[in-house]
This record gives sequence, C-alpha cells and structure tokens, in this order.
Amino acid sequence: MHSLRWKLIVGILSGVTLLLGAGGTAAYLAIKTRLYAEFDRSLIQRTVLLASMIEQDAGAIKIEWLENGDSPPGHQPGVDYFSVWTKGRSEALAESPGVEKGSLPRFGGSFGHPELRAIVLPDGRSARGAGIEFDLRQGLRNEESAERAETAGGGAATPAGAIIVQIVIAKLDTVAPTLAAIRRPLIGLWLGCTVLGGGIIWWVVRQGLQPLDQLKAQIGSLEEAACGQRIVLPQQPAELEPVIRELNRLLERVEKALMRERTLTSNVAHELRTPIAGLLATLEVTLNRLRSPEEYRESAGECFEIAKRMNWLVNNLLSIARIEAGNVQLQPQDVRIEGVLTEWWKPFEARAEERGLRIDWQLEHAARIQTDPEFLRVVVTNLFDNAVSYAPEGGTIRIEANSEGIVSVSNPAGALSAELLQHAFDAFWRNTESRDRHVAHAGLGLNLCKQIVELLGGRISAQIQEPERLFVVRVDMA
Amino acid sequence: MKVLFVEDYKPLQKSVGKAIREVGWAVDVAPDGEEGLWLAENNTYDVVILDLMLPKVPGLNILARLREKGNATPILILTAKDAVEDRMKGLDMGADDYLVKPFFLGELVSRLKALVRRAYSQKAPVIRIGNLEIDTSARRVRRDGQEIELTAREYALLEYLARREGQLVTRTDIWNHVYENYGGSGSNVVDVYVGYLRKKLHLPRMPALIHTRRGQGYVLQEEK
Repeated sequence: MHSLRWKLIVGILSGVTLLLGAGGTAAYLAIKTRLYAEFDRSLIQRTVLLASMIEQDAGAIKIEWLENGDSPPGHQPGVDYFSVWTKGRSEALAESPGVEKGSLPRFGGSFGHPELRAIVLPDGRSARGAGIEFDLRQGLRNEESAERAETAGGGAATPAGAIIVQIVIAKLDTVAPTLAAIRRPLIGLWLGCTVLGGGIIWWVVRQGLQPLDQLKAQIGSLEEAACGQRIVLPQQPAELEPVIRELNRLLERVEKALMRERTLTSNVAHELRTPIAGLLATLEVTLNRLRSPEEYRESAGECFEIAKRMNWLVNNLLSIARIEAGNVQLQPQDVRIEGVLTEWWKPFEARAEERGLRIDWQLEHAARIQTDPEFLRVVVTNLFDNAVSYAPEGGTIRIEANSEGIVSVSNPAGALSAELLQHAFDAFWRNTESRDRHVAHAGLGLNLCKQIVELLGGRISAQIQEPERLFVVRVDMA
Repeated sequence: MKVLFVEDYKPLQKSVGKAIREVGWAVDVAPDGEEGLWLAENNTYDVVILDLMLPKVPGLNILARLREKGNATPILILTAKDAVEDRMKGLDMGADDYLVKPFFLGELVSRLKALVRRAYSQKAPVIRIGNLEIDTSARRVRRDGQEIELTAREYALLEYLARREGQLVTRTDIWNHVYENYGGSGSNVVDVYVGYLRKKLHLPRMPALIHTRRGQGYVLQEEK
C-alpha cells in the first residue's frame, strides 16, 4: 500500500541505518589502521634492533645474541619468530626455534623502509613480518650512504665484495583478535540502534501524522445534507492549514449549491402545488353536488386553463433542466423576425383582448437574424406571456424588432419596483417568502430566457424606463 | 359564520369561496396582503384563511400585525410551503391551524368548522337549546324531534345566534358575521331573515326561542 507513514518510517530508518553503519565502519577502520600502525612500528623497531646486532668481524658474520648463547633480546617464544641469512644462500645464519627451517618467507627492504608483509605461519596462524636487507660491510653507520648508492645505482647493482644479509622478523598478529573483539559489539550496537531508532521513528511519525487521522475522522463525520459544517483541528499544523482551508472553502461552495438546489426545489414545488390545489379545489367543489351544464362547462374551462399553465410551467422547467445538463443541439438558420413574431403572438391574442391590452408593433420589415428559431420562440413566447399576464389591464404592450438583431417587449411596469427588478432573472432561485408570486413566477420564465439567449450567443437585459415607467426586456442577438 | 380568504391565485379564490358559501357561510376574498390586512383589521370575521406568499404584504406579516393588536380571530394558514419549520413558524406566530396546498376542500371546511367551534367554546358539533337541536356538521335542524328545512342563509343566521346563546346579538353583529362585505348596513335584511327564521322555528304550544330586544338586537334562548 502507498502509505505516507510507511514511506516516512522506511525512508528515515534506512537513512539512519546507513549513516550509523557508515560511521561504525569508519570508526572501525580508523581503529584498525591505528592498531596496525602501532604494531608495525614496534615490529620495525625490533627488526632494526636485531639487524644492528649482526656484524662483520674479520670476515666472519657475527650475530651478537648467538655469541652470548642467548635468544635475541625481548624474544617471546611462540609469539615472534626470526630468521637471518646471507642473500643467495639457502641456509640460515640464525633462526628462532619452533619454526620449521626455511619456512619463514625471505624478503627485505632498506633500513629506512623495511618491507612489511602479512604472513601465514606454518601452523596456520596469521602474523606480520618485517624484512631488512643490508650490506654487512657498510653496517648501520653507513646506512644513509648505502641508501644513496642504492638510489643512484638503481638498486639492482650490488657493490663488489658486498655481503648482503637479510633478516625477517615475524610476529603473531595480535591485532586481528582485538579487532574481532571490537567488531562484534559494534555490529550489535548498530543493529540495536537500528531497532531502537525504528521504534522511535515509528512513534514520532505516528505522533506527527495524528492530525491526518483527526482530519480523516472529521471528514468522515460530515453529514451530506447538513449546513454550517467546517473542519477544525484542535492543534492545526501549518502544513495542513492550506488543505483544511481549501476543504472548508469546498464545503462552503457545496453548501451554497445545496441551498440553491433546496430553494429551487421548494420553489418548483410551490409553483406546482398552487395550480394543483386550484385544480383539485375547482373539481371538488363542482363535484360536491349536481350542477347545471353551464356550471360544468365553466369549471371544465377553468381546469383546462390551469392545466395549460401547468404544462407551460413544466415545459419551462424541463427546458432549464436540459440546458443546465448541457445536452442541447443548436440548429441556426436565417429567421425573418417580422414573420415569426406575428406568428408566435397568435396564441396570446385572446388573453390580451380579454385584459383589454393594446399592442404597439414596431417591426422592421426586412429584419433578419441568424439563430435557432425553436429556442428563440421559447424566449419570445415567455416575454409575451409575462407581458400579457402582468401588464395592468388596458395597458399597451410594445413589441419591437430591428435589423440590428434587437427584439424588445415593453409593458407598463405597474407595481414592479426597481428592487424586484434586480432579481428579475433569478427570482425563481431565491427565497420568495416576502415576494410577489408573480415576480417569482415571471422569474422562472426570465431565467429560462436568459439561459437560452446566452446559449444562442446573445444578451438580455431588463429595465424600467422612466418617465413613462415602462418595463422593458431587451434581447440583443447581434 | 363569516370567513376572510386572503389568496392571490384566482382559481382558488373562486373554488374555495364557492365551497364555503355552499356551506352557508359568508366569504370575503382579498387578492393581496394589503387588502387582506385592511379587511381583517376593519371587520369581524369568525375565521381567516391566510396564504403566506402574497403580493404587497406577506402572510406572516399580516398574522403578526393582527396578533400584535390583540385580534384573536382564528387563523388558518393555507400555503404550499410544507416544510416542518414553516409550519412551526406559522403556528408559533399565532396561527390556529395550518393546511398545505394541495388540499381537499372537504378537509378545509371541516377544519374551519372545528376552529369556529373552538372559538365559541363548543366541543360538540351538536348545539342543543331546549328542544332545539342544531347539528353543525350535517347542517340539520330539529325541534322536538321534527326536522326543520332552512335555506343556507337562514341556517347561517340560526347557527350564529345559537353559538352566542343567551347573549345579546346586534343587527350589526349579524350583518358582519353572516353577510359578505357588500358595504352599508343591512339591518332591514337582517330583520327580514330573523322573521323567516322565527316562523320556521315556531311550533304550536312551544315557547318562542328568538327574542327581540327593542332598539338593540336579538337573543336566542329558551325562556323559562
């Protein structure tokens, strides 16, 4: 699983383990180098000492400790071994006891730089050896000139009559067991630190990520439909602050959308309930007793009118839903405005006449618009419907269209106030408790008009024109 | 009984008005909040039916204004707002009943009758005065077990008088509670209807029930 916690724990632990390992190894290597340097220094000192005890006396090679019938000074049987011989001869001049003859390797460096080698003793134990090779005639005193000659002569040439003696001292490697003794607790310490460090890191990471768990719990406890919910962490880390801020903003937006939906639903319900109530009441009162044919006819006519209004309302609602869902196909064509406006007006003629409304046509004969006539029809008929429904009785409705793509419908504003006008295009979506139902009702139509006009790429505006107080809705399709 | 119906939706004004009139009650219809408030403040009604979403003055404002001024007329809210909060708000502000649209006319009328009964502190739908029996739910009147046929207007007059049994009822009271708001005073009409009613209620060898208090009005009671 892709877990932040495990990623952090594994990452930090790997880093710590690697660093601890590297540090331990470095310390171990430093100790090792230091111990071997110490060991080698004393080995070299001893080799130089023993070499200085080999002298030439009257052509014979004298080894001082043998003259005294002794072991070399400081010799520790079983720990260090020596071998002295003349270069080129297989037989040794002196050898430490306990070593098989000729078993120590033969090699040699100068006094200044004795050669050092790791040696495996015949009994299999590890040891280190130092070897010096020198010209006995020159002795130790001339060591420096000999070295000079060596450098000058390329080291290969041996002066005539030289007696080259080699000495090798081997000493049991006591450093290795010491190192081994250090190594084990070091590894133990490393492993221990890793485990303990892992534990600490796990705890720290868990503590550090606790706000995430709280956040998760809070998000989990949010209710779908409740309002005013915000996420608040008791100790909010700076890193989570932007996340929580954005989450809270999202909650606020969701809440607003939710409220809008609720208002819409309740307004739609209201808009539908009222005509249903009218329908039910009209039918119920008619059916209460036996009535005359005229009364039945009248009530059927009323029901028919109510049903037509409901049909209109439902169609508008469906259009809004369709446009909001975005599945609309436009089919623009060349539309002659004068023709369609007079055609679309026909269904409103009877109602306009009934309310004593006068129509003032101001149409430019040749005006044409490139648009989808079906959608334009919904817009125009909604404007006609509002004008016929809400113009004060006996008023004049002015219908205008020109070749600049402008269609406008005006009627006396009546009681409509500028304050209500502000919400003309969204009245339906707002809380309409204190508002005229007519405005809310017209708002549905106007909201639909706005959506359609925008879909068609035009603009729509509503205003009250002074001083005649004309309510003007202007559609600009250009 | 007289009802004020404040509602801006024409089909409802018409059908509810008709239904109430057919019960024998009078109805005044106000098409907006302003007129509704004016009528309620300047007339006496037995019940007010109030829509909430009204032009000019919202229904809840009317309710608040009336209660503020100590008007105790029973008020039934009739609205499409069905949320529990809306109902609670309406009742808490002093409404006596709440009915959500769409509704059944029969139920509305029954609720109106219940409100009137409560207003006149009569729990039973049958009013008995001596051997006069008025069944307000069936709108039937009997005297001494004998059924009496009354017109809607006569019945309304009798029911109103019966609800105020033993009290002096002025001609204006009757005019306000039984007749619609045609304006003017109709004391002559009231006298004519009281006369009709008296004649129909009169049975031989039975005491008169409706008594005239000259220059004041009428009292319905069984005189011992």
